[in-house]
Amino acid sequence: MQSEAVQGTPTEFEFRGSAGEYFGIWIVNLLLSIVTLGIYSAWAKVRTKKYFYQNTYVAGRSFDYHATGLQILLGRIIVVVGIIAYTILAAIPLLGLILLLGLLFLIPFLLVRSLRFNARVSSWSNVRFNFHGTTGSAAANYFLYPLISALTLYTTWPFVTRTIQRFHVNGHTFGKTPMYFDSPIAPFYKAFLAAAAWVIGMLTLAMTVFGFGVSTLSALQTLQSDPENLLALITIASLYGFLLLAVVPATVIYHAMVRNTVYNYTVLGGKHRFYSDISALRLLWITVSNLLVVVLSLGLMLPWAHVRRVRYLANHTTFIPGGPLDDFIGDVTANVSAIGDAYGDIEGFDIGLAV
Amino acid sequence: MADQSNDNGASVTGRAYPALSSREIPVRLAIGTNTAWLIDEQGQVLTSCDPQDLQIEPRVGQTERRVNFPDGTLFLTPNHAALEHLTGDSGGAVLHGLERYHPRLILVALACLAGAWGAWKYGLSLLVALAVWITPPPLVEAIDSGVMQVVDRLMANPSELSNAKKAELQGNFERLLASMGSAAEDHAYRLEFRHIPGMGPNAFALPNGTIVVTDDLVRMASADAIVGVMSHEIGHVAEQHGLHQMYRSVGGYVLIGLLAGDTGPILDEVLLEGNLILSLSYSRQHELSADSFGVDLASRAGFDPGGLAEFFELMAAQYGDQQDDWFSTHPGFEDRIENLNVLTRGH
Repeated sequence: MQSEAVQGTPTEFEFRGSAGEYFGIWIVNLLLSIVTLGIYSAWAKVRTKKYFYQNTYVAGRSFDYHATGLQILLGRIIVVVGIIAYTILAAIPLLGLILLLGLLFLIPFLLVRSLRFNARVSSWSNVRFNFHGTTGSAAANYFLYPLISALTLYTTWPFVTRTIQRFHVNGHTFGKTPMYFDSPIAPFYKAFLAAAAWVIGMLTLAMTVFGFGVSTLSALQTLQSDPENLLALITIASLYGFLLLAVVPATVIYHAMVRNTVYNYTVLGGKHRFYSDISALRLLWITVSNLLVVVLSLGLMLPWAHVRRVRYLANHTTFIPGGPLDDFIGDVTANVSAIGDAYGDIEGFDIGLAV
Repeated sequence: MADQSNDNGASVTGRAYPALSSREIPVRLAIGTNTAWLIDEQGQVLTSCDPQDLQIEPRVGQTERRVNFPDGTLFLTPNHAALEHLTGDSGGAVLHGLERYHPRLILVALACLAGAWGAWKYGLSLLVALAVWITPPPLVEAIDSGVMQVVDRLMANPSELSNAKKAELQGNFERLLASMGSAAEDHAYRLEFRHIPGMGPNAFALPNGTIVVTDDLVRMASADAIVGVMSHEIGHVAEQHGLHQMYRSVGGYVLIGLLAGDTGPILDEVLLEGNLILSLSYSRQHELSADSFGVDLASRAGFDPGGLAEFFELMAAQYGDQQDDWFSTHPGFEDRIENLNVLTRGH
């Protein structure tokens, strides 16, 4: 339509959905999933994905999600049967240990299947994505490299993050068009130091507060009849507090800065580029305020929080075309089963992907 | 052919993409009696097919409606009303209507709460019962023998009780089983004696019917109290509490996992913690249920039904009462004694 005009002009990602509309979809999804004891959740997932993909536009063209509820359901049934079988078999002591080892080998396989499935059911401008990463490199990226990094007391963690991002971006193609990411290590260390600075800052703050906390505690101990219980309570509360104030924000900061780097160094088809200018502190504010609003509204504001976050990310992501957008060609691909995806939904993969 | 389709007044504007291509073409969709056409701005027909073969995707919010042609061409239009009028398609209209931002959604939210409660109370129990029913017996046998191997290797020593004492308790055990009639055949009931340091006067049952009694229990409790404990453990086996608890916790976990995408990360955590606390309440219910089963069984076999209460009195005197709270797997001794006294009064 306007592909000529679009050429070379940076164009922002744009989210056209609204919180009110998503609320309706979300609450109906939830109700139908509950009354069908989770069966409808497969269709609910598809509907939610479609809503977000179809409302996200780049250069006036939207994304789309093509998985069917039945596909997702079949994957989920297999995974649920697997989990039940695992539970009962793991109750037999020695077998449980063997199964655990087996699962450890199965996870990289399922992860790759999940990435492949998700890529092949996602499209933009009528062209589907694909993923070519292998189980072996998934195992190396998620098991081996973190292990080596642990030996260096995690000081080499930015290298692990970079190799994981390479695994993801370079493994993907858009139709027949390859995606490529590589970057110097400096931006990753910058993100790492920013996150570390936050944790150290919070620790120092906690130390000063904790000094005060101990004296309050000893005062309370004389008053309280059950000091042991109180101590345990305070220990748990401070641990949660530490997690909330130090670790979670540090993760958000790290992810935000890594995301910028990944977008800024990714090239599509050798000519199209991206640009992301997420502000780490702004994203942190959105995350924290979203959390408070969701908790205070007993979960009812969740759709609003979700839309708010997605809109912020979209508004700070830009596509810089290096040629006509009409020339992408799709690849004919076979269906992949949704087992990996279903496993990821139920058990959760912590893939640390910068999207 | 193009002229032919132009004659048909009704059409919807939108854009199309040929199969496997990102090429965007402004078009209009026109539908005649036997043919549907996609016509570009120059009046050229891009593709056509029988209207029956059009695959029209259900509506999701205000997002553009998608129509797939059999040759892979995709047509998108934001003109919802015009498309529905033209194709007569109302696929997904009920769902879309229900999802509209409307005060009715408050009712949907309330129904969610009621539904969650119902699913928890009845739905999950139904699924758990089904899972218990289809669990193959050899698997349950393997759990018993596997757990006993681990117990023997890591925790337990051979019993130091005299053979006479063992024989006496074995006799009582068989008397209990005999009074169960044919129900005793449902599980492979077996009494085992072990000296387990650190476990104190205690007993436990495994799902296939292995019941282990510690030496400390035999030394400290009276014959009636031991019968009470044994009949309580038989109750756990007969009512299949072990399998129920295992499936229930995994069932709750899976259900929460399936909904997790829709509940968000925080509510997800809250639900998982709630699941844990509720399965503890479930465990306390099982203890009380096994208590009443035990009292019933002991009195049917001609023993003193007060034996179990006697055992808890001994425990309370020895160890003090435990707090009966949300975080216990077992109810407090005082509560159980009180409950048992109510039960035994009936005998």
